[in-house]
Amino acid sequence: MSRIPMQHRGKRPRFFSVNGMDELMSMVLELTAELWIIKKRLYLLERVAANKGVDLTPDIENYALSDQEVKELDSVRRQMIATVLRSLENEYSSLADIRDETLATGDHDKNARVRAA
Amino acid sequence: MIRNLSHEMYAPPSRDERTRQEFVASLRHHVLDDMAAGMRNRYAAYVEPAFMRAHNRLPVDGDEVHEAMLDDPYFGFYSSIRYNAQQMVFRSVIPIVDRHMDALKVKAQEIAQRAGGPEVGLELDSTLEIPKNVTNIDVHLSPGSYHTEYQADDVSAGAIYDNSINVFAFNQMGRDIDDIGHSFANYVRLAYPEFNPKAILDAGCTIGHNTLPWANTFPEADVTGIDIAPGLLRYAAARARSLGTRAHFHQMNCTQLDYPAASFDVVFSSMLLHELPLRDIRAFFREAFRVLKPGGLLLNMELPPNNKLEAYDRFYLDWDCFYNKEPYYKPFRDQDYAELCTAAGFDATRFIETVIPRYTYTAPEDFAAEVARGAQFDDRTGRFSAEIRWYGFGAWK
Repeated sequence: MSRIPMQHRGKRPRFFSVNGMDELMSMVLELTAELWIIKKRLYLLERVAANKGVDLTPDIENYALSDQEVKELDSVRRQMIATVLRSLENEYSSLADIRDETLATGDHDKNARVRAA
Repeated sequence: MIRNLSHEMYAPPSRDERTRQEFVASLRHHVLDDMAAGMRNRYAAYVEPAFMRAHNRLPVDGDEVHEAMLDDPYFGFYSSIRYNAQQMVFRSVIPIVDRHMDALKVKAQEIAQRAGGPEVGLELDSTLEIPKNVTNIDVHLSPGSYHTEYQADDVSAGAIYDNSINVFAFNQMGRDIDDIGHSFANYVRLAYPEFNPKAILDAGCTIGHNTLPWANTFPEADVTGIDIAPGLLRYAAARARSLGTRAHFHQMNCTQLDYPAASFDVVFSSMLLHELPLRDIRAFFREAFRVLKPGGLLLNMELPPNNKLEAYDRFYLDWDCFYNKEPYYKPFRDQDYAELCTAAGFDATRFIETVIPRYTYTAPEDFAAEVARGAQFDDRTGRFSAEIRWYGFGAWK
């Protein structure tokens, strides 16, 4: 159970006039991070196996997942999707946060592309 | 590219977590290096000429450049990726700190009670009101800002700060992200060799990363770090003890220093001022003047003032004000820094400023040469890159 929030309070800045483009950029970047993590791990896996003199490819092709393993993978996959789409979760979470931030700083920055809530 | 911090309070990532951090660090590097250069080229090739055609003159300040850049698609991509990279820094660190939250608390307490080792003081003040500019904004997108505690005796805020800067800096701010402290302590040592400070205050010290280098450089001195947030200071004390450096940490607001007049030879701050409302900067400077001994030094490491930069560079460094939840950035950087000092009581003739390379990345003779050369402003000043030059200013009392 995580206690520390993963998203800042208040509005996110918007850099594109097309609706949804800002979120799309976030999703692409999270996706790329996920991809890199896998790439690196597979890279390490191949090298570790090769160092032990093992060619893993045939066994990977033929592996039969147990029910437990299927469940685990389902959970990890759902988590990955949530991570990639996280930017869609939080923008409208709390008007109170937006109001607090405005009170602290005075007025909105006139040059920032901040959409009205 | 990302190393383990060398002290015991470090929250070690798993393999995959470290890999995510590397991705984020690379993304930041790409934005701040490649895309920054690309955006500058776009400005020179398209935006500035278009402005010239429309107005028959060049932009005079950062606001005019900013306005013009808003219509350039590249600005949107630079900004979007930079904003996302900042968020991803915290997301690559927070789950690790969250997992280690209880262990870090226990570790800090164990280090504090340990026999032997340097004396590190920690004085907290639960009656201190945390200012609204900290509580109401997640400064530089940091979830929970500086002050949030998730349990009694929590050190999470310190751990988030330390580990996130480690990713943010991609090995460019020193082994334990303390290059700024080393750079300015050694600047003082080299530029003012007769000066032998005995009492040094680091205001807004967070986790003490730029506080301890003063103790390393002036081992006879008593070094104190102050900040408003208890979690940062608990972490700072444990970190200092683990690194074997004597220091004292005190929960205090720099605008109301709980010290008698003439207590310190040096009042230092690093990346503090741009997070304060202007009235608080002025109050801090008045307090600094009061607590400095005659002949003492106020020295602030900060971003350079807009009045020393070309219009495009002003825009470039102003970015955080608009898009990185740093609303006090530009109001500070638009000031005349000398006037901030004289308004607090310092003499105009005693104002100093400097631009120096990173001490822990530069050969000692080259560092000494740049110190001797004095402040030179160009697009490396304050811009985060492998070529970065740190700017500092202040005044002698």
